Amino acid sequence: MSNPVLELRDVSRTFRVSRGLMRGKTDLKAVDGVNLTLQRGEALGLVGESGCGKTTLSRMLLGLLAPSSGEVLVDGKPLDAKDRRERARRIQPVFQDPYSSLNPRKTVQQIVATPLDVHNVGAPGDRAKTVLDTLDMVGLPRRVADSYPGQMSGGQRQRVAIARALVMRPEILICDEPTSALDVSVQSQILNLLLELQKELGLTYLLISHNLAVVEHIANRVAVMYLGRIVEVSRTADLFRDARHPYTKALLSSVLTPEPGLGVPDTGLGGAWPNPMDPPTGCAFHPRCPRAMDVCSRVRPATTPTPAGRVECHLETETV
Amino acid sequence: MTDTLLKVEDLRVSIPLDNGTLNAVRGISFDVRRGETLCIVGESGCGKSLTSLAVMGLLPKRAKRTATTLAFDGDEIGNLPERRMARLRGDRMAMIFQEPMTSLNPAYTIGDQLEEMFLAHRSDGRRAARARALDLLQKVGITGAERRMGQYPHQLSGGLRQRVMIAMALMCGPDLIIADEPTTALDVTIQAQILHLLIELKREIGLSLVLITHDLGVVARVADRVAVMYAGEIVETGTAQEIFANPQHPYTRGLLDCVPAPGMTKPGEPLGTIPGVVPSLIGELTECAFRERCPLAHDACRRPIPLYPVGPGREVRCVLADRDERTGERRATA
Repeated sequence: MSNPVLELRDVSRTFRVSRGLMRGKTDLKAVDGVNLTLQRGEALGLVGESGCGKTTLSRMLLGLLAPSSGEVLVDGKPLDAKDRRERARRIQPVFQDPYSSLNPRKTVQQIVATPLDVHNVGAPGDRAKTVLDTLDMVGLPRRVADSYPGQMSGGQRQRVAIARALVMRPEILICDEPTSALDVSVQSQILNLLLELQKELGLTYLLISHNLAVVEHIANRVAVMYLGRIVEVSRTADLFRDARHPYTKALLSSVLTPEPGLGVPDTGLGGAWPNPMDPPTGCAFHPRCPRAMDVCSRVRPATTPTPAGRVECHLETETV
Repeated sequence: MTDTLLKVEDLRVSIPLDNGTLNAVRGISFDVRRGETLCIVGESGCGKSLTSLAVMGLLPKRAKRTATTLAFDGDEIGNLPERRMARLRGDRMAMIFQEPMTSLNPAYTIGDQLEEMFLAHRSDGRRAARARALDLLQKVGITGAERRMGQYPHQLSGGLRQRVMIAMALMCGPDLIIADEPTTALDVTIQAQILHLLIELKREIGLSLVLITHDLGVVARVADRVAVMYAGEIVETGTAQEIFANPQHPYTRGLLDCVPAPGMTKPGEPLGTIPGVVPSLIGELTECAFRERCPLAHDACRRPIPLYPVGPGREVRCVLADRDERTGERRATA
């Protein structure tokens, strides 16, 4: 692992949340001791159920949220609040819903030019040209520059959001559910675009998605998150062939591929999503785990390296 | 008692707008047999949700509905007065919506809302309603049902709320449930659980299910029969096996090519796309609605295309469907 462009070292984030009227406050550990690296030019998928901390993690990477503890390193150097502009130049977000992430009162030209204006990049006259070049890049006709988001389809809007992220020529795109709000025929266009852009510009992606089929298609590596912790990291092909963590297995088994006759599998997970304000002791997954052992409720499992990555599960140390 | 529970013929929904009439549903026909799951699949704006609302008589006021037949269990319901329709709705036919947070009332407890459903249609009293609600909450896999009855919707997770919605739909023991994207807002793990539950319940109780979805994975795993909708029309019908193994309409084929599927598509390779956009639904169609986006478009599609029967229970709205490879002639005679 030579060249991590982005690195999280033991990063945690805690929120003070109210427990309800008159019951005081408590700490909610949204992200808990996460170590993760992003190699230059790779696409890392981040999967997990809602509430597991995926978005909090991405907000810390974007510098929108400071970690409670731990470090975020870019090119091996820690970035603190003072370097916000520098960070924004290199890391840009694409959000889920292009209906709410674009200002409806601004034209496409204005929306895409905003990062240039904020960072004061280039002469104002050149900016218009940069915007048009970027529209070419994401496959939008130049004539939409004067349109408003309301006049565009969902797929076009998501292309505008991608153009806005690319206009600064960043190295890293943090894509938070980039196609979840789109129809399947539009989703495939956006996924194709992301793949093309990665090839052309050598971009690095963090792709956050609950759609494992999308992650399998785009990502080289996948990190699986459960209740604030990364429980498994693996090369994508290995993960889909031979997942180690019972939670990853359950996630994979709930992917409904378009194959008639197979029915809907019983994931064996149960519905008991744990309370993040009062997380289970030991391995956080043990109350739902079909293979939970005695030790799982007492001791937090250590991180064990695997041929394709790493996993946090007692089964790994018990059986080997 | 007939084998066909729901029969819909030439259903149309139109909405008058300032610049013309929006024909959202353009004469669709289908039927649902007892104990069967029909999936209506299509992308946003194809009219699938309005179809379900039209059947339930829940269309917005300004939308106009016409149908030559709209029959439930052999009885015409298309012209029932609202009072009679309300008696049917929730009793013998029930609906599950996509977003359980907006379809549950935040100001009433789960128990109150479940009981209300029962009390509105039965005169067995509150005690019977409560017993039924408890029973159903357990059946849909909610633990601690007694405690949940006293809770408000915001105290429940999305998956639990959707289970409550299913329990509510089952309160009066309906024959038909129409579920509009019941799992779209949920995590994949919860989606699998909810669908698993729906299939189990369906088998156990023998009810019929109309599932509206855009997710082809869900369709493949749940449907007995499938109707693919595009621009307010049904473009293809068939069993799930037929639709996925041998899609006949270019739109169906295009949709299937768009979907990444582990083990079926090659990671990193370009996915199929459907170029262009859905045509305006204002006014009448003068040619095949898919023509502008179709890779196989030719002169013969410059007219409205009817549904051609291409097999038992199998219809395709395409002039190219089911051609004899040798002669180029259509096999089935329409």
